[in-house]
Amino acid sequence: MTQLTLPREQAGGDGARIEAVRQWWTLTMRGLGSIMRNGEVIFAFVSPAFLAVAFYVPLRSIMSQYADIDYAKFLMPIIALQSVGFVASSAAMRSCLDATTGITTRFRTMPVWSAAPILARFSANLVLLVISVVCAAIASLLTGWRPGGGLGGTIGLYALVLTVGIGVAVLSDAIGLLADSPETTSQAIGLPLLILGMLSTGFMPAILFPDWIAPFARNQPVSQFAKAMRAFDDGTATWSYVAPAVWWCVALIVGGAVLTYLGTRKVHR
Amino acid sequence: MSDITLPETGPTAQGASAESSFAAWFAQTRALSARQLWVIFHEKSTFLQVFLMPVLTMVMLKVVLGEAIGRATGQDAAYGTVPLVIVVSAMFGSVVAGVRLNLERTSGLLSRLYVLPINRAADLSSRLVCEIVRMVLTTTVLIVVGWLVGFRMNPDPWAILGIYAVAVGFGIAFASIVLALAVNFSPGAPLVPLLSLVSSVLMFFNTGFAPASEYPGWLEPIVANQPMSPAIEVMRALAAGGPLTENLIKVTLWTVGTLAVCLYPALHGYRKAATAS
Repeated sequence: MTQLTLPREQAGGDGARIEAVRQWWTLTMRGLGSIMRNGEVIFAFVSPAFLAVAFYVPLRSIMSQYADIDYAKFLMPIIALQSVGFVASSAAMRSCLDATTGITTRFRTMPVWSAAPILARFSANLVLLVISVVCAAIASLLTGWRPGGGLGGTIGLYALVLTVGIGVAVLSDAIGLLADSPETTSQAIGLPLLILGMLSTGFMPAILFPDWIAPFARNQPVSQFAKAMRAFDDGTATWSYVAPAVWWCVALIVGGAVLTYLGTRKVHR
Repeated sequence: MSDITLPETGPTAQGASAESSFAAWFAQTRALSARQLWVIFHEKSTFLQVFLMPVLTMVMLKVVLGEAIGRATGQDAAYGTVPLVIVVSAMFGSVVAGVRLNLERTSGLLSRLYVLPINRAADLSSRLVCEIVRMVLTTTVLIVVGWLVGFRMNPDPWAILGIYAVAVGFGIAFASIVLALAVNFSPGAPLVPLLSLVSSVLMFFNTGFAPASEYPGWLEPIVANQPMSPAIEVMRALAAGGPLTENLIKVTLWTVGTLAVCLYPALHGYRKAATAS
């Protein structure tokens, strides 16, 4: 009976680790390649820039007149969070297409480290997130926003945005794995993003909402993120101000991890 | 060598003339329209996009912007929001129809219909009929939900009919643009992102979203005269009263002009798409 000898890099130890890293790198490059080809980088800029222009141009004078608000400064958090929303949609569609076209199953039949596809998608999403957040910052600067919280406040602001982005990307990737089709995925991501984005204090202060919905608008996650971001931007951030946003971030990451586990179980079956 | 005799139902001169007759066009348009409507109502994603999304958008625009816009205009924001979403839903619904046309083109259905003894115009006209039915239904749903958020209509039947006429007229004009582009672009072209971007830009830069006076001076005439704004203003005037004539003329010119420009490219492109191997 002949003995099967695995090549050194698959036999365990350092070789296996190197092979796993190589697989992760290859799959990450595949993800980034599709991001470039699909024009997602262009949309990463167009999406927040368009949102900034669409709301800032018609509403700036109304907001300064009736709510006494510097609207460029007020809109900055929702522009950044919109870029996070764009990454969420993109992440969900990417994982869903991998699952529905059979690529995820194909990887399971190959000598590929089981975590490599998930980590590769995460890495590609992280790159897209950074690009999107930079584009959102440029869009906000173009409307007239200027960082007002000093170096520490600005670092805190973007650390929060990136943490939210990571949580949302993990959660969206998992939803994509669990969804049956790209259409289902786009609705599972699109509807909550639309509702939470619009019915938040990102576009309007809570005082301008009808009484029956103001408590929801004030306390939902997008509003809490926006509130914390404004606090960082004003240099008035305290733990009591930022804590709800931090706990929502924790909830996103934990929820994403649980759903990712369920998604990989579904793929295994 | 024996002669081959075609059955009477075959593609004889008589059959060809029957195929191009008004009766054939009417019957086949009706059958194909029923098929198109079946697709809309049985595809969950399409149904949600065509009916649920406009209602959600309208309610949220009213809730979020209602107070601020109401203060700025001195009128309930619903009189701008409801017409705006009626027009926007006509546009985005047409984009969905364009996507479906492209899918049916790539799957070979258009070619299949083209080689069958079916009136040449039936499929294209069935798509327009489907758009009209969809717009009437969506407009009805939006008016009913709009009533709940403060949109009170003039009870005059002519005013109500006028609102439907403007919605359908605008919708057909936009649908003809979408159909003309869908059949003339290559199937892989980025038609959806392009149309969605145009629709989204128009959605925020019109007099239903904010009064024209709130836009920068150089942008004001563009906002006031882009196709959506006159349609919104006519619907606002019909529902709440106000000047009508100027905007009605603009709507008519936009609608007739668009149809005149797009009808031939749509028919020509459809034939080209159907006969392409």
